[in-house]
Amino acid sequence: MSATYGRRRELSAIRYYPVPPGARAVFIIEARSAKESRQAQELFDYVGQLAHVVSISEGAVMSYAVHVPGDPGEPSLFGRIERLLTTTFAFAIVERNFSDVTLRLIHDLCDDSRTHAEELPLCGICGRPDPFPCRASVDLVGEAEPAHLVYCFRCAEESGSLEPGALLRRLIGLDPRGFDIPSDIPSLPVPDLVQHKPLPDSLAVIWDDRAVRRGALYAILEAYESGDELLLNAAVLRFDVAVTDRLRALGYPRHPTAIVRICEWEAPGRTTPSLEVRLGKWFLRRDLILRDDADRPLRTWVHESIHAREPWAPDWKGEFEVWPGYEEGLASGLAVLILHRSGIAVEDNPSYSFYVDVYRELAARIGVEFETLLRKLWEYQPATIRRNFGRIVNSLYKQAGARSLSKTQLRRLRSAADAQFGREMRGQSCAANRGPCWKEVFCEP
Amino acid sequence: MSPDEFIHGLRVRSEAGDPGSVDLFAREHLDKVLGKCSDAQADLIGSLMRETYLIHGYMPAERPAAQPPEPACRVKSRGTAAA
Repeated sequence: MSATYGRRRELSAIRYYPVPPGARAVFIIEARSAKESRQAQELFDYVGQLAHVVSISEGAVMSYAVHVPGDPGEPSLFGRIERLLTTTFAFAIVERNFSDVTLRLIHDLCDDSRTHAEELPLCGICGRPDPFPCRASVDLVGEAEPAHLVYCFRCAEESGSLEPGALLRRLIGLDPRGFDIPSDIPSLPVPDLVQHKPLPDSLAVIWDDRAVRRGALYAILEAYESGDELLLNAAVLRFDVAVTDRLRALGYPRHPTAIVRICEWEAPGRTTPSLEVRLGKWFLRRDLILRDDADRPLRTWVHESIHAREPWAPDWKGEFEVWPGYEEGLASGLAVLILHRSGIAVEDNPSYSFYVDVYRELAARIGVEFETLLRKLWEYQPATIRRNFGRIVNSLYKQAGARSLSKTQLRRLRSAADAQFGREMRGQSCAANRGPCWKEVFCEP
Repeated sequence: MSPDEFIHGLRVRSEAGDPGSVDLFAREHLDKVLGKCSDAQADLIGSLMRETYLIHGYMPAERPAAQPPEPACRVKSRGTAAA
């Protein structure tokens, strides 16, 4: 417990660093050699590009606390790390929480192995350590230097669900050191810890430099063929962080539970309904080795990440089996658009270019930018675009200043869309006989 | 086998709704055929494979997993999730 001061001190300003909600876990690894220590360190360096990581001990016992902001549910990242550990280290423990027991265990292991354990911040109320505490920096009346206050997540939880500023005031009020908080002083968030961490240059450059992109993909292929699972997962993770970070920056985040795997006998890319993005090794090999082309694999990676934006509708087969073009046209069109916006010139996948052209023509017909249409479609869960198509197009049409579509027009829209997004149109060129088209929909009944 | 012959064989198997047969056919020829394909042919092969596997929920068997280091891995996992 922290010391209690005799006199109360008055605050004149509060600046706080809110901890976003999320999930936390602790990973403990026995490193039996310097090489294993380095491997663990490298692995958690990668993880640090995706989540907040705090090293708790370093040496024969390597331990790390990881906090993934977002939904408090189990993030896929923990499972991915666990899988890496199982294939690499002889002994590892994953604790999907952070508790006093875990910390005691780490300290016992560190004592036994003479490993150095880091000091963690101690809660100003209960005195317990927490790797990801709520922090505040406060100005005190009559004191030149600000005071730095720290409160653990347990004390924060016990204070009820308050917005971050009010929560910090409540916690400071409970602090046994005695602080008076005048009601008129503001509580201001410090933005740099609130925002998403910027992408390290080494990852952003995967988008900006073809040679680096090629090298990063080649590292994946090489790791796959070497059979070194840790190397493979780390190489995939590196590329995937670059992809997902750029997608998030452009406003098209992938669902946090999606995972990427390299598979031997797969198509170039396939997303499963459980949001496993599977990338085919032979196609990757062909593009890299035979074609010296690092752009197509990136296009595929982005394309599949768009399919993995949300869990699929339970009845996904109904749409995908008969009318794959609604979803494939979106993923293919958006993937190329995203690459173009990043200065990478790639063409549409010819298997789906017909569907993309159909969307492009539709956007022109209703008078909106192509990306406006795609963004609107992207907001819908995969395999629900067809059932919402009339509503989506009508809202964009009205947004462009036109009248609402009549019932007859909506009927024609459905019929024209089904004809153009059907499975049989895959791989067609635009010149092919395409049946009903948008012109017939938008002419007055 | 030429890329066109391979695509035909793949299409027949795909339209028969037999992902296992698509997988076997791909294992036998894919690595050799891909080198001779144009980009459009490779994309078509890819989309035939992906759609057949996707619709049927098919997962091709993977290569054998790498052996864990000795001694056998002892990973413990505790708890569920925490906010």
